[in-house]
Amino acid sequence: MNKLQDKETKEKAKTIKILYRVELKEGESATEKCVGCSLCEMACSLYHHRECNPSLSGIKVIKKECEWINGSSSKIFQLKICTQCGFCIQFCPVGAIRIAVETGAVVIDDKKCSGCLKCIRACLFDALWYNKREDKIIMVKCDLCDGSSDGPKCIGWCPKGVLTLRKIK
Amino acid sequence: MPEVYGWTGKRLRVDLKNKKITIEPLVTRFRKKWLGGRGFNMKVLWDEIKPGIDPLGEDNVLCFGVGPLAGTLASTSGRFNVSAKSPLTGLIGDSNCGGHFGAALKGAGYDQIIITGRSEEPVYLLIKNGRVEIRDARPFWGKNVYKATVSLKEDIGAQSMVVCIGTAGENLVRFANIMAEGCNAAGRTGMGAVMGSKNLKAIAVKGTRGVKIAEPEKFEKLAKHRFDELRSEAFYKAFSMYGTTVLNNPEWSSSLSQCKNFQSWNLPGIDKLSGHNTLRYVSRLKSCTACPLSCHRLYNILTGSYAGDRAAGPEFETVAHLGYLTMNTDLEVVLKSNTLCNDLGLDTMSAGHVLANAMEWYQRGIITHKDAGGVKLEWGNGEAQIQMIQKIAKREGFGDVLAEGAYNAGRIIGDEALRYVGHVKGMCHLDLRQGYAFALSRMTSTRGSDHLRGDPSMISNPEACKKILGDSKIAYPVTIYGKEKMVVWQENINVLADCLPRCKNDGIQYYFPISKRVFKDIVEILSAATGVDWTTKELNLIAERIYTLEQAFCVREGINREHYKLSWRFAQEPIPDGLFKGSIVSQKELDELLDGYFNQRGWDIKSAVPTRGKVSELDLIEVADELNELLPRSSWNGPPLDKKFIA
Repeated sequence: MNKLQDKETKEKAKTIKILYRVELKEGESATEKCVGCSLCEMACSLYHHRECNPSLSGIKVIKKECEWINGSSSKIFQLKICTQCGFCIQFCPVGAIRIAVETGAVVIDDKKCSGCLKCIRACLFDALWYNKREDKIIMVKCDLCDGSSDGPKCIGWCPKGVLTLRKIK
Repeated sequence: MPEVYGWTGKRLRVDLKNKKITIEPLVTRFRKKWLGGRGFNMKVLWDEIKPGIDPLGEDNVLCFGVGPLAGTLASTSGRFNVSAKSPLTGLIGDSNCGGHFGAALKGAGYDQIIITGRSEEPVYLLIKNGRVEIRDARPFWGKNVYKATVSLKEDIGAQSMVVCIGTAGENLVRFANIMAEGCNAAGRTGMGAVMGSKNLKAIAVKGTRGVKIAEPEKFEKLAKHRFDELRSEAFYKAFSMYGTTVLNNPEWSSSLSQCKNFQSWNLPGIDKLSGHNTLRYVSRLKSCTACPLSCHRLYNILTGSYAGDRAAGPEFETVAHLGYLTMNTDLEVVLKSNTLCNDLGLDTMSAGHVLANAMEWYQRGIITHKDAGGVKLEWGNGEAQIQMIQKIAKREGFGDVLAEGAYNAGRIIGDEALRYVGHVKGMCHLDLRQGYAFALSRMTSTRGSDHLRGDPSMISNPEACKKILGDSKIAYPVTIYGKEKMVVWQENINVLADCLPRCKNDGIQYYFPISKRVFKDIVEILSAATGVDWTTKELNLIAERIYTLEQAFCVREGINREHYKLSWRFAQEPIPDGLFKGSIVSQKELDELLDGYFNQRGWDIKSAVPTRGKVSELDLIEVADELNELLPRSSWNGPPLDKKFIA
């Protein structure tokens, strides 16, 4: 049954012409514009989990203001978000990670996921996280907001216009 | 327990003496009565602090509180309140602070932390969701803010948020602040000294619980509306670049600020301190959690004698106090002073005041070169300023006296020194002589002279006065007509801002025409977040309740009508220069205005005590009973001083 579905998905995936990802508007230099307000994180978690919680967000703002002042870090803010490269798919022992047909985003099926965290260790961009809720592991990653009509939430909520949605194929 | 939205419905009680940690529920009735942040804290201060205790003793209670909107998408909501009995004034101590700590605390699942008792050894508090520990802080004790914050974060994990004190707080400097993330300060009323007196170096929070929202879709829509509105405001662009230093030029040129400890409005080279000039040093804009404004800046001095100096700021008040008041026009010296104050954990405003007063005492020969420990405290001497700031934090030499704060240092040195201190209830802010609305708002502020309690920003704005107070004549700045109404309104809206929380820089009190919509916005977004139906009337009542309780606290500590007198300088000396040259606030007219204010508030005109009728109307009858028992009270004269100063 699973195999059949997988096969179907793979075939459908072939038909997807355009893939998108949320990325920095002007490359790395755009992080210079980020002010570390966390609005993107909260908008993401509110949309996906009905609560404001940066640890349930598919985008992360790493804040290092004090480290910068102290001279122990050259970066002040760092943004981390999935590039939808799909590298993690091959590491999932239960086949819970797939490419969503509708959006082209790499998504994790909560029902299948066993919580082994192999994907997190495999991720090249450190853009995949988990959160523990009453002994249940919730995987957290960008899914491009299920292709919602007004686009990924983080983009609309960024006050400095740092983020954008870009075609990658 | 049913699901709680907006709030977390829990608070943390930490007894440092017995090393005991308890989690207490906050029931719906309590939450609806006190709303959040400042409200929660004030209730605890009233209930748990016995009148007359030493603010630096173990009986003081330190509270960190956040409101129902903290840690959510609502714009400018990433703030928290720190409250305790103030070591600077001996009255209400309360400071609102931005940064990321408020949202993190909420994310860990707590609306409030109450810290009681005193630890024998230096400790810090670690909060990781349900796991709360009192840990050994000996490795961090003696370190200043930046070092302590960074090394704590290295120990706990990068994504934790830290509030800590510097050596000033450890040495019980009475205006020591609490620094959040080394960038934002809970500056006023000396909350850092309270933390130091409890041997509590820091609080580190790492939370993954988040804030639950009752109606997510509606909430997001309302928050987005507010977000877009804020970004389209006229002040948005300038404000998110210059921060509060956007005020430097207008405040000076309209002579709302003075220099030389209010002796003059004549400062050659004032242009060097303009907001525009600060941009030369700014390397990055930064926001507090959930704020699109980015009014905070990180600066880096690249060349000159202070090369390599990095910190957050400067704010307008910092420039006004460490620049104007001490007649120091070298921006780099102001920046260096700011860096030092942040690192040592000193309130830049109170530090500026105490330095300006020391310089005036030096100028008048009240203190000699020898008294000052060989520091040349001349006007505009940047080196002396920087040297003295370090001495204050270490309580070294004359710095030991200045570390008591301007008012208390005046008490120690003598009446001749005290007369030049422009204070209200032991705390200093800018000039009171610009007009009656200004003077009134500083006089009636419960934490002493300050701009964040009830600044009359509607002044000279007939449209706003007409819309909100129903009378455009109130806007006229020179008369006393209706000013009490304006100040009461502003005080109430500021209470709400501290409770929600919401930043006062987002237009709730300044910069754009205030309209009734402010209340409507709050009501809507609060209802969507908490799932409780709010009304404007209820919110007004809450604001009044909290402000009246604060007044009751002050009254219990010995404040009475006599303390509503202008200090010597503001009562006797007309403004020497500038647009307001020769103008003065007369105590007689101010008294008339104060009568009106007390009537409006429902407090007794003669004694400044909240009346029984008003108090029961606000559902605070237990307060009236306690106030009755207290009479007659001994009159307030500042906090108790150390024995070494009482000769």
